[in-house]
Amino acid sequence: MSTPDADDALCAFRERHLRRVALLGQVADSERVLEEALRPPAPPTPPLRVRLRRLFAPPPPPPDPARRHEGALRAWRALDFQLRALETAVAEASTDRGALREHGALPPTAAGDSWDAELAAHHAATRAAQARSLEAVVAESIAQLKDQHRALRALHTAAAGAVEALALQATVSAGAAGAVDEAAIAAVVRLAGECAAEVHHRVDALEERLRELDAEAAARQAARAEVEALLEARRVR
Amino acid sequence: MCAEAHPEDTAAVDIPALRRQLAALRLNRLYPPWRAVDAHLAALQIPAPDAPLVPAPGTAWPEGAAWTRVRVDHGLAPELLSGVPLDAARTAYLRAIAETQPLPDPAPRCAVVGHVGDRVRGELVWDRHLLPVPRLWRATLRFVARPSADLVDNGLSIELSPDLRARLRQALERPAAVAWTALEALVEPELLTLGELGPARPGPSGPWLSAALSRVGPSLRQTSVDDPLLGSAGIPVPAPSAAVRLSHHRKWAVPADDLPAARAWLKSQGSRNLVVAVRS
Repeated sequence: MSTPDADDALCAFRERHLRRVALLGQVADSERVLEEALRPPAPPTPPLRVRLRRLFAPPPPPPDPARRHEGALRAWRALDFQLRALETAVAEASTDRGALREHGALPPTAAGDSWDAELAAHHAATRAAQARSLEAVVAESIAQLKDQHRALRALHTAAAGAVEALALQATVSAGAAGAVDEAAIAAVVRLAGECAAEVHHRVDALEERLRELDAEAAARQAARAEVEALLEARRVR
Repeated sequence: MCAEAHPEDTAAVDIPALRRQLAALRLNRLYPPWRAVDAHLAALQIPAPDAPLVPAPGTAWPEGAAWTRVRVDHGLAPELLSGVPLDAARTAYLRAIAETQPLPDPAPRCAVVGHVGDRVRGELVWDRHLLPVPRLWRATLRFVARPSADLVDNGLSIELSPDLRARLRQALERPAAVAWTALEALVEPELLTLGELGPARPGPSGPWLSAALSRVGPSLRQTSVDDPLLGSAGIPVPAPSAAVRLSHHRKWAVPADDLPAARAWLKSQGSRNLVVAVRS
């Protein structure tokens, strides 16, 4: 494989991995959105004169249940699509991991007598090391993607009941109280918050690993430049 | 219930037939905007992965979850298509749904139509699309009110406070005669019209789509109710001593082959509802 193609392949693996990390972040955001959609809206605090006037007025009407249901359904449907995306991401990451393992296991190119051959051998060794490092990070991300898929599946199932309860509330005519299980909805809200916090923590950990990988790659690039300079100096001599 | 329905009539939702009947009903401005409803039905025709289209129980309408799903997915499509890796089927579905125009959730429109002394005469038009049911109706209220912090006369339009809007929404979700009583506590109503589209009932040759119009006010000469779908529960009507009267009538669009059966059924219910035959 020629050097530019191999470098492009490594870049492509890295870009896909970054996109999968971004997907985990989006999943966490979707969980937060579901949490907020299911949380009952906090009533605004009106000015004092309005509160005094309301002491002698009928109680304010409840917020529109249809809007609350639609917001919750939107957040729940987003989770549904995120679940499918996680499944796709796991399959893609597994394929990439296999390809990176092959790249990392390539036999070392025999250094020849010419300067070009030495340079090519050095490049191949550097790329193989980078592929092995990236493979380890991708392997870790596969585990996180699978864990997140399991957690999201549980949240999705739990939230389905809450969304259905809100749909029932939305279909009950005004004046007749809908028997919405707010406790069940609150439980889903807590679960969504916990899932989102966990995913944010894992995304932070993944990003930290990627920063370590970047530092590693930068050190290798510096070493590569040094070797190239030495080889160039030898060639000129 | 309508004339005998074949078992297979309830198995699938015939959206093309519903769209033809919707156009044939020739709904005027007192009903929900039929073109917007037609666009939503067109969006419902797009097959969604893992979400087959099923009818709402006992009707030939799509179930409420499908109506809501279309609007929700249309809103989600741009952000999902921009970065979330999805399979080909879901990507194609989202691309198609992104091009549709689902029913919006419009805010009420309140226009100034005149002044009576220091009071303003207004006309409130409020489209309510309660998709989870589904229930689609338009309330048109002609009223007089004194401007206040909750009701501001802006010259051409009237601005309603969130609190007043919520109370009006609650009032207008009730049957017309009951809504009138609730509205009297908020403004001085002059004429209330509730135009409702649906339900669609399964028939032998296809769905039977209907629309009902309720009008209540002091200008009506007599109370008149003709709706075979009300059943024994009936509809609240103003007391004989009340100052207002109620008119409530329904009209139908049915497949041409079902026209004799529809007329026979309406006659058996003592109804003189208008029926329109629609050729497929």
